[in-house]
Amino acid sequence: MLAFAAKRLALALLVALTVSLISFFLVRLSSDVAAAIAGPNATAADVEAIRHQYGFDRPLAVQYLDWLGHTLRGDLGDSLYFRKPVLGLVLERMPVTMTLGTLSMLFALGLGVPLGVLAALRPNSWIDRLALTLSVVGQAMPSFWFGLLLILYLGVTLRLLPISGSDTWRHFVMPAITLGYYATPAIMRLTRTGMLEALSADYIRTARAKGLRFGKVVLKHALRNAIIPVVALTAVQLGFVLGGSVVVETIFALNGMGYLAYQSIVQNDFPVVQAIVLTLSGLYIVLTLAADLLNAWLDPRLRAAAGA
Amino acid sequence: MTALLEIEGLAVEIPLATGTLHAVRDVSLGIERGETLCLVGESGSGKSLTALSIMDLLPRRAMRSARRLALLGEDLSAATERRMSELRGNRMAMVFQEPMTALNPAYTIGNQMLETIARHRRMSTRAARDRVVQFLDHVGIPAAGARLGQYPHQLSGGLRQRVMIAMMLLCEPDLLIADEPTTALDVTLQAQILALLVKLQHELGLGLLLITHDLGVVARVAQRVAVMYAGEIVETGSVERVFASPRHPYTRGLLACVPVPGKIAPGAPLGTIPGIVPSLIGEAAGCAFRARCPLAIEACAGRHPMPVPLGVGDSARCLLLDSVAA
Amino acid sequence: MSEGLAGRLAPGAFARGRRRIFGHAGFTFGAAVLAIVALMAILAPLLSPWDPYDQDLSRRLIPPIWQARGTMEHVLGTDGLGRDYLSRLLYGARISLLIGISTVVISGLIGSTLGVLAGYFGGRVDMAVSFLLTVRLSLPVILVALAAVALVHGSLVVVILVLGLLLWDRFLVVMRSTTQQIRHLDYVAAAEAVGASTLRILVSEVLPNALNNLIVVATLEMANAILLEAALSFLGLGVQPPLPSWGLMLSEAKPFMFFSPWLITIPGTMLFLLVLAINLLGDGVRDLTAPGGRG
Repeated sequence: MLAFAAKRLALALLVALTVSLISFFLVRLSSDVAAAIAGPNATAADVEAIRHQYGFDRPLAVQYLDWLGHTLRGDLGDSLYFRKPVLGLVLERMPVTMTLGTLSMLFALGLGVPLGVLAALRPNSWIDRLALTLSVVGQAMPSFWFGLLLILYLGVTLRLLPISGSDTWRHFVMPAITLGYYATPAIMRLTRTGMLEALSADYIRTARAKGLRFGKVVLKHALRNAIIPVVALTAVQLGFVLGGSVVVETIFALNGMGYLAYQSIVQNDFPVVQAIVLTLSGLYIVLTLAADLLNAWLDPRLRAAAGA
Repeated sequence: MTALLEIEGLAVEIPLATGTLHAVRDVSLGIERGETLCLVGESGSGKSLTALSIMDLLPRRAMRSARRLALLGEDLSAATERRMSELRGNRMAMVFQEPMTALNPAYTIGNQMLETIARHRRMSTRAARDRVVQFLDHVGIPAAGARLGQYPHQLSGGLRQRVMIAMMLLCEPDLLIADEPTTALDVTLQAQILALLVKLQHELGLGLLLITHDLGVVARVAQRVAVMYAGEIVETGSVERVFASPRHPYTRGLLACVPVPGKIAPGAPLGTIPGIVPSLIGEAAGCAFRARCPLAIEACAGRHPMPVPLGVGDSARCLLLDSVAA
Repeated sequence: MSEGLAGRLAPGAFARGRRRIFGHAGFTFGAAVLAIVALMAILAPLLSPWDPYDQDLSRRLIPPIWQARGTMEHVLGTDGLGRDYLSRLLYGARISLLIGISTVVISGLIGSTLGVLAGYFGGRVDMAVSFLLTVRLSLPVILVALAAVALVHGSLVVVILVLGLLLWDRFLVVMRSTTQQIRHLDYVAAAEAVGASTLRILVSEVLPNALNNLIVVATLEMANAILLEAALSFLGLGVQPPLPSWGLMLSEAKPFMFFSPWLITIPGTMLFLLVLAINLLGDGVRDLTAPGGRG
């Protein structure tokens, strides 16, 4: 198990490094950062001075290594717009995004898993059709439109929930539903498929032959095996959800990383953008790694193959 | 004395796109306490479905009907699922063919065995664990105590089957159904498992319904045998009688297929039954075996043969019974 | 499950795939809607009663015809700048379809090439490609797309390029596994034995078999691209005004949405229907070309 984990970790680090490379070069190569820093009223000489001051005239490889060194030490530079250290900015906004992400996944799991189980227990029944419909609709619905509709109907017409800001838990309800709804179809379908497969397995027949009660058979025996791929999927979906937070946070004016990313992109605040891309990718890589390890641990057969 | 298991007129139908599949037709059999009845037949004859019907573990689409289906006098055909789940693993148990897939890979042996006891008995955890270890030991599993913490994939096929047997007998049921319990195991294991079943039956006074396609097993283990073909029981009787003087052409054919060392001349061809099993979709007309029967006459196509009694508990379905010499 | 009848009749054997529930109805619906949208796009100049860029501030925010103040002149009403909504909707169909198709072509080429190479040559090539895939999957797509578009300044072409360079992952996965499966089949070995060149084998053996899967993935990615473009335009970093991208229309409608909700329901519904249709179409293709059914 340890060797397995070490190998995965090494791969994850390599991926993270590559991502940092990409995000670095993306920014450096595509436009003149010095000019952006100098501002619209700067002369050519000013821009040159800034270029030299920030070290943009050095070879790109050197710049990258320099940046990498700084990043690993926790120095992500300063925000051009806020004039504050980027790291501080990002850390400030992270809790909101993490809360949103967690709530969204809880919503997705709370809706997707039960529906998937019920749909598998009664294939082709009305509940199966309902689950299918929700799944199909969820995949086709633009999340930002869904968010707007929620604002319109739940927020304004019915006045049930606040429509912007991030002060109370109520502020997170609509954003979590909006974001979570997109992750639900995949979870529901995977649960359903997994349950169908598990329910037709021999060990379910054995469980019934032992006289175990129905609920126990379904939940203890079938779901336990069916849920294994869902765990990995959840981690992956969480990654997507964090990425999609850009749009949702912007609509609902939630003060998280996604909103910060949007503002920074619009304001050409490159250090911040770079940092957030790195952070979100890093989170995603960590999540995928965790999912792999969790998978191996949950399925005793995989654990055996991995050498536990 | 109430018979342990009484079945009369059991039928299982499965609706298919092409028609209704009559997988089991008019099956009647009975088992007494302490008795072993073997249900013999080739693949597709309906043996497994018959067994599953008794336990009410049929696939969702299948429809079961019976004139009488009773365990120790209790009517099973009208029992609710709740009542059935109380009986399963408790008064009646079943062991299946594939030990490799019959246990849940995600839970330990101990966990899966303890939950059987927890379902049907009130016992302290310690007492339950002791009982489980005792049973595992009794079925011949070495280092029984250590097995509790092991996962199914850590055991061989033979050991898993022993675990299955132990698990199903934990609550000392009255009836044990074994559906080809040794078919998936190699020959040496077969003998061991069969011997184990016989031993346990004697100790617990079980009624054993053993399903197999292997006549050798029948000869070794059973007192009575029922031969199934195309969803029906075509002959039934004591093992001695059936093996010595089979009355149904199919039974005769089956016995002729089994090479007996010493009785068969070297170089002589092995017996076969030409032809294939008829389609079970739609209503049956006439005798199901007639296409492959060397003794078929015209009447066989028109009349469906009902069981002809041949003695106490003995019967066979054949129109020619009076004319076929013993 | 055990052999024989009892085995074949296990509950799992009867579980129909969810697509079977819709059956061919889904495919038909999808194809029909897609055809309608295509017609909208192609015939936009003919069908539009107004010029979609024609502003008239005296006719702002007129509601659609089914509401009280609606008129026949503007069947779907007008937006905040007095532009006819129906006309913008029709021309918007062009943008959505254009984006969808172009992106899929680009990402399809990239992904398929990488996938086939990885699947056919295996070994180091496969490892390198898999690594690329993992890196790509680790990138938060919306964010990277946003950043990329912002850096080069948004426009239709930029959006297509950026999305095309980002959305190739599923193509890669599908083509890789298809190629791997086919690679080991006997007739490929036979072709190799006879001396057929690698390229020839790839084209004549691998491609036809992968076609079904490719179509399904193409529909998925097309829908994805359309949604992403709408999101990018919604945030102001995709197609630029005054182009009538449906996403952009939604963004421009935001300030007015509380009093003129149709401004967001109409383009949103169109997006939803289009994406739904494409998904159902893809499902339908998968269903029809895999008669065994996948539950």
